[in-house]
Order: sequence, then C-alpha cells, then structure tokens
Amino acid sequence: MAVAVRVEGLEKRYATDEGAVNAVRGVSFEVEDGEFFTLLGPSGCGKSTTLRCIAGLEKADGGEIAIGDMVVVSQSGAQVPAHQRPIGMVFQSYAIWPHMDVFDNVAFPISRGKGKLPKAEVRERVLEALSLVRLDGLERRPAPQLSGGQQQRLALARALVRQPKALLLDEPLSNLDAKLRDDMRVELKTLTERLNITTLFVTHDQLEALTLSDKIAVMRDGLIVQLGGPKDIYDDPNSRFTAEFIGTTNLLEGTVASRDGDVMRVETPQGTLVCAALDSLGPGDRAAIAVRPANIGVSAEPPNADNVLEGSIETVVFLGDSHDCRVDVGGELIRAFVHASRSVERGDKVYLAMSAADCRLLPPEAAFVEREDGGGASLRLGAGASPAVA
Amino acid sequence: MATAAQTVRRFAPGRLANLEPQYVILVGGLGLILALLVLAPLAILLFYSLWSVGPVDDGGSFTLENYRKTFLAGSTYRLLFNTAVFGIGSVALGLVFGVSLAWVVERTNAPFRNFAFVVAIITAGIPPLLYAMAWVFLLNERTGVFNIPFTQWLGWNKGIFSPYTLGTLVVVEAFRLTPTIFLMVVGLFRSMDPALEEAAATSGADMRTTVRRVTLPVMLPGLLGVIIFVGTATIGLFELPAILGMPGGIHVFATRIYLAMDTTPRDYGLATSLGTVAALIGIVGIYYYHRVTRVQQKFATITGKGYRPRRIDLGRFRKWAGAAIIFYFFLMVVLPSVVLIYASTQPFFKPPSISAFENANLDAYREIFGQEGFWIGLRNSLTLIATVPIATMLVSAIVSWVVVRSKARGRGLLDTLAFIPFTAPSIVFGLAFLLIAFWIDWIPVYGTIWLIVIVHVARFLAYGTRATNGAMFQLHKELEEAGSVSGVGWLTVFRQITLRLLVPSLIAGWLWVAIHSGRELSMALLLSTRDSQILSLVAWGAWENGRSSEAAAVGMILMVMMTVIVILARIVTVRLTREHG
Repeated sequence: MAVAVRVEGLEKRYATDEGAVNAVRGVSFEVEDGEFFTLLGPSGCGKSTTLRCIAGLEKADGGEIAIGDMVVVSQSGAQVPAHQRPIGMVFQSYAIWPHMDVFDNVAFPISRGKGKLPKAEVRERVLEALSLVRLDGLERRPAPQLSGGQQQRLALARALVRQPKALLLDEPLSNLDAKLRDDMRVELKTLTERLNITTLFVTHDQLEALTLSDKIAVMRDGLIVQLGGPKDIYDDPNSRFTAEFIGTTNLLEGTVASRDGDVMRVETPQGTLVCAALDSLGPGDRAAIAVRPANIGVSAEPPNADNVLEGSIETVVFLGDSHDCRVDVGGELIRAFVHASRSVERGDKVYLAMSAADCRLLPPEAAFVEREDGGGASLRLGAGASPAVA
Repeated sequence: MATAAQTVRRFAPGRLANLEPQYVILVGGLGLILALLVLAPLAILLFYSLWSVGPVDDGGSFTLENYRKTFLAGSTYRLLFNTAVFGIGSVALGLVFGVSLAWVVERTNAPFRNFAFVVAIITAGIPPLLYAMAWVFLLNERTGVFNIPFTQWLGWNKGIFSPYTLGTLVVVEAFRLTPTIFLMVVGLFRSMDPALEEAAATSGADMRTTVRRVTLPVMLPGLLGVIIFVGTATIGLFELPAILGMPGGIHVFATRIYLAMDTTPRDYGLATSLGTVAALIGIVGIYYYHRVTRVQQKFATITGKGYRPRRIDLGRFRKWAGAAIIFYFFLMVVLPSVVLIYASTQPFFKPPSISAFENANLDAYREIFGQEGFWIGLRNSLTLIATVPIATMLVSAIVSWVVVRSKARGRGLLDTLAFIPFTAPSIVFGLAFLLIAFWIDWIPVYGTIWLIVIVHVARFLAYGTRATNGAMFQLHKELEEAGSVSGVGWLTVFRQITLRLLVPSLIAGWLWVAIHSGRELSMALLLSTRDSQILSLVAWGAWENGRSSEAAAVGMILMVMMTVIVILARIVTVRLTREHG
C-alpha cells in the first residue's frame, strides 16, 4: 500500500522561560493509505506537537514530513504553510466558529481561498458531509446552539468536506462526557473505515487508542518508544513504560538466572519465574517481568502451570463481573481477577498461576534511558516492535 | 526504514527561512509606524528640554539650563507637592468610594444594584471639563448652590464651600474617579472564581477572615493595577486643575505646562523640562502597572457562565446601602447635569430662584450658533469621532494579533511601543506633537484637524491594544488554526474569523475611543489653531473668557452627542450579539 503520511527525524524545540525544551526529538513513522494511526502518550510527550507539525501549525526545527506526494517540511527547512497542506483537522476544543451557522462552518474550507468551488457544488458537498455525521436538517442552526456531541460531529464534517489526504484528530473525544465518548468512538471508527481515509489520531487515552487504531505509536519524552498494532503493543510491551501506560499490569523486579533455549529463568523476591527469553539480556542482568492481571489464574489448590506463586488475598473489590484482588506475595501486591461466581475473601490463601508465554520479560528502565540518549534510536525500537515474540 | 535520513539530520540553514514574509512586513511596518507615532514625539520632547532655544528659533546648543531653572524655582516644588496631594488624595478617596460601591453591588443583596451600573457608565462618560464646570456652579462662594444656606438664608457674604482649593480639587476628582474605579473593581470581582471564597468558607473561615485572607490577597495585584492606572491618569489630568486649581494659583504639571505655552513668548524650556519629568514619572508608573497586571494574569480565572457569587445578606443595613446608591446617583449625575442645564439658560449664573427661572432663556445657544468657531469646532469634532476610533481599533487589532498570536521576533517590543503613550500626560503628548509639527513643517499638517487625528490615534492606541489584546487572549487559538487547516490563507482567516469574532470587543473599544476622542481637550489645547479647533476647545475658550453660560451650552451639546454615540453603539452591539445567538 502507498504511504499517505511520512515523518522522518522530526524535531521541535520550544524556547520557554526555563530554557529550551525539546518537545520532539527525532520522531519517524509512516502511515499507510487508509490506516488509522494513533500517537499515544501521557501529556507532554510530544504527541500533539508532532501532529501540529504535520498540520503546519508549528514549524518543525528539523526532519522531513510528506503528505501523499507533497513534501510539506523538507530537510532544507522549507515549509509549506498550513493552508496549502491537503489536510483536515479536528481540534480538542472543536473550534466551531460561533459567528457562523452550521452550513457556513462546513462550507468555509471549500468556499474561500484556493480550494474555492462553485456554489452549487459547495452546497452538495456540505450537505453530503453533514449527512455523513448525521447532522442533516441542522444547516441553518447557529453553531453555538449545538450540543457538545453535535459540535464534535460538525468539526468532523468541516474537516472532511475538503476531502483531505489525511484527517488529523487532536484529542477530539476528551471534552465529551463518558457516555457520549463511547458513542463517538464507535461512530468515528465506522466513519473512518467507511471513507477509508488516512487518519492520524492523538490521544492520552489507551482505551481509545486500542479500540480505534490500526497502528499505535507510543510516545514518551518526545520519542516513539514503541510502534505496532494494538494487540502487539498490549501483549508485547517492550518497556516498563509501555507496559504500565497501556492496560493494567503487574511488574516484578528480578535478576536473570539462566537461559535455556527460548526461555529464561528469572529470580525475583517472589520466586523463580520462567518466561520467554530476551536477546538483549544475559544471566546476571537486572530485569522486570510484566504480567497482565487477566492472565493470572487464581486457585485455592496448587495448579499445574509454568509459574506458580503463593500468597494471601490483601484486598478484594467487587467489579460486577469479577473480583479485583490484590494478592500479597512476599510483600509485593499482585493484581489478579477472579470470576464473580467464586467467592473470595480477604486473608484467603491462594495460588497464582501464570504461563511462561504471558510473562513478558522487560529490560530494566535504565537500559531504556540509555537508548533514549542514542538519539535516532526510536525507529529501531519501533521497527523491532516485538524483540522477543513469545 | 529511513535510518539514513535520520543520521544525516540537518537544520534549516538561516533564520530567514524560518520567518514567514507576512510577519516580516507586519512587524516591520507596524514597528515603524508605532515608532514614528510614539517614540519620535517623546524623543523630540527630551531633545528640546536639553536645547537652549525653542523650535521656532534658529541655532541653539545643548544645555542643562532648562532643568536648572525649573528645579531652582520654588514654584516647581509647590507644583510637585500639589500634584502628589492631588494624585494620592483623590485616588485614595476614589478607592474608598469605588471599592465599597463595587463590593455592595457585587457581593451583597443591596437594592438598586443594576441601577448603580447604569449610573457608573453614564458618569464615566461625562467630559471632565463639564464635570469641573458643574462643581464650580455648585460650590461658588457667592452663587454656588451648596452655599445658598449661608449666602441667602444667613445673609453671609460668602458660603463655607469654595471651588478653588486643593481640597475641593481632591474631592471632586475622587468623585470623578469613582465610577471608573467601580467598573474596574467589579471586573476584578467577576474574574475571581467564587469557589476560592467558598473553599475558605467551607474550611471554617468566617466572612471577615475570608475577605482578609482570601479575597483581598487574590485581588491585590488587580487593585494595585487599578491604583497605578487611575493614578497615572490623574497626575496628567488638565481639565480639573485648570478650572478648579488655576484660579486659586494651585498648579499641577498639566496646568503649569499650559501656562508656559500660553505666555508670550512661549517658555519652551520650562514646558519641555516639566513635560519630560512628568513623562518619566508616568513611565515608572506604567512599568509597575505592567508588572503588576502580569502577575494578575497568572491569578485570574475567568469563569464566565459559572459566575454565581454568594451574596451577603446586609439585613437591616440593606436599605441604607440602597439609600447610599441613590445618594451617589444624585451627587454624581443629577446635580451636575441639572446645574449645567440650568447654567446654560442663565445669562449670568445666579443661584436658582423664582426670578432666575423666569429669566431663563436660550440666548447662550443662540449666541454660539451664530459663531463661526462653533461650527468649525462641531465639524472638526465630528471628523475626530468619524476617523479616530476606527483607525485606532483597526491598528490595535493588527498589533494585538501580532503580539498575541504570532511568534514573530520583536512582538514584545511592539506591545510596549503601543503602550508608551499612556505614560505621558495628554498635554505633554500634545506638546511633543507640536514640536514635531514645527520640525517637519514641510508636511502641511499643522493647523489642520488631521494633526489632532494623528495625536489621538497615537495616544488611544495604548487603550485600544489593551482591549484587543485581552479579547485576542480569550479567543481560542484553535478557532484560527481551524481556519488555516481549512486551506485558507492567513489574510482571509484574519478577516473572516479573527476580526469577525473580535467585533464585540472592537465596538466596545471603538465606543471608548469615540467618547474620549470626542471630549478630549488637553491634547488639542496646544495644537489647535482657529481652523482646527474642536468643541471641547470652544467650551474651554468660552469658560476662560468668563462666558460661563456659553461654555455650559457647548458642554450640553457635547453631552448630547456623546449620549447619541453611546446609544447607537449599544444598539449595534445588541443586534450583533442577538445574531450570534
């Protein structure tokens, strides 16, 4: 498939009162045609800045950006201004113009400037875009009289009406209340799939990222730390940061004891665990093991599994379909889920069972920092999204 | 993948590549215009204060003689003392009135609260010249309305009130400042999140503790800003000291400069050296105003819709608060207006009596309508109102856009430049432009109304940019960015989105400038010739020559003009906001 958006070695610095801040430090990725690509990370990780550089709202300090065939930011420093880039964008605040009605808001991109179309076509395109987001019949409604969800859809229609090569979404769901956000998420997914439009989505919400995306770039401190499909990222986090940021996870610290083919034995204070080997580690290295609570079996009798830990239940929270338990294993609290049909109580002695495949071996955090200093290393990390496939 | 491109990473070659051409043109052009309008006059003022002869004479050399003469004279120290008493006294008193009124209106359940607003807006629009005249009619020792009990009932030679003392000057200026301070402090109250006070209350603090430990500290930077703002304006004020001070020999900066320029030959040395000193005082004041308001911006949380402050139940004091608001209305609006209307119908001012009412006539109006000067003044004043506010607000909007939105270099400097005119008293600004007009006499602008138009625009830019800066800050950046990513160039975005959304603020600013430009006296005072006089000057001229009824009549006409403008602007604003839903 063709590449719709290409970002190479993007850099962006801000001058602040406290000195220069490197907001983006060499980010590279490619988005294929029709792909839903998400930049995911905590606030301040550079995800929004990256998106705004693609949109042309920020000037990149280095690197290259291309949208389709158009190089919008070139290595030589030349930049195409925002309004000449083939994009549509939805903002966090929606940025609906309050002095226009619904129709005029949507018509704006195609009735002015270079992209100006004949009147009849403008009308046709606007109505089409409005019906796409289910706002038909509201054309003449003053924009401020729309509800939050309607404003959101209006912003989407305005971004789509120009038939952009790339749709840029900057945390578009974060201002909606929870119920509406769920609905909009589904709607956004259906719409982008139907239109088969290349979409770049920025969010700090891992659930949004996992449910919507074809591909996710996890960002931290201006770098992409992991790049891959939602399932890869969820199942095979390559760092403690990704493991902790996406989903809930238990982390056990330990030291690699030995390697036997594809598996490694790791000594932890909780016991020795067997897990898939990681090439970058050898016996004696510090490491961490990540296990999702959903992948831990809880039983009263000793089970038959690769790894078994013994502990006692410290807290139980009833979640409706399950019990969310924290089990004290050698002083460390490990989170696990027990089906609602079973009864568990605080103080119960239980066994935790984990398969070697579900125990993800991670390099210690220090190693990650080292790689950060390597500058362009983000791509290497991204390309090798699953260094140790279980 | 593209590892090669990463290792061979290069940066943009020069800074120029990073500057978009529109910013270069905008910042450069605006900077040049502002420098000409703002820096050049002040520079020339400083120059002549250090030059041995005035602008009309040839030759001359560098000298400190002007300053030596000025500061060896005892009158200068009396002037400084008077200015200090006038500034500090009237601002302190005005704060007592203004803050208490604001507190009563915003935070208690006193009756007539909305009425107080109307009163404040009306009175803030009264030309200071008229206000001063009205108080002369009210306080005149023999004929003043307040002195009637003493002169008529007790048969004394003169009453206990006198318009021509420093005390009167302070009190009348405090009255005049009250509505301005009130409106600014109400703004402060409103920009404060009521949750801050509620949090204190739920933490167990009683009302007094809340006010002392939360409300006042949070408002303090804002209050300081108000104090410096009105203080600087008061120190530079001409009208009140001219009418209430000069007859009693009480001089402040503005009146002394006026006098130096009103004698023959003009004393340029004294005027420029005093003007420079006054401008320096202003610069210090405005520097602190800037610092203080910057701190305030960090505090301020504009809550908008959620603004529902707790109102304190005044209990049995409620009706007293209501009475105070009514009293305030009488003192501020009814008395001065009535006495002015009355004075304009009396050939010679007499205390109101049956015979006085019988003799009332419209001779004064007939008289001024017969003077050619009046019609010239009217035409020129209308020219000012038609041109100055529009030009000021347009330039302000562009300056603000560059200052607030762009990342262009030198935008901070632009902001400072636009604000500098606030520092010098109006009359000093007028003086500086007079010097410029002599300097560049090959541009035939002296003696025409256009010189005054230029001076007004230069000065009111300081206000205009404050208004548009604030509005621009509140305009969410994404509204404009949404325009850019819609494939529309920056100029279209500026016209179709930015300007359109700024319309309410632009009209509000337009109105402020229109009122102030239309009533302004002290800048035109030194610049006007016969052909370029304006209505406020006509009134001043009549007053100075003892034709008080004519002065009052011109004043009334000026007031009617201002009222029409206010009503028109209000109608336009209401219609526009309704349109936007």
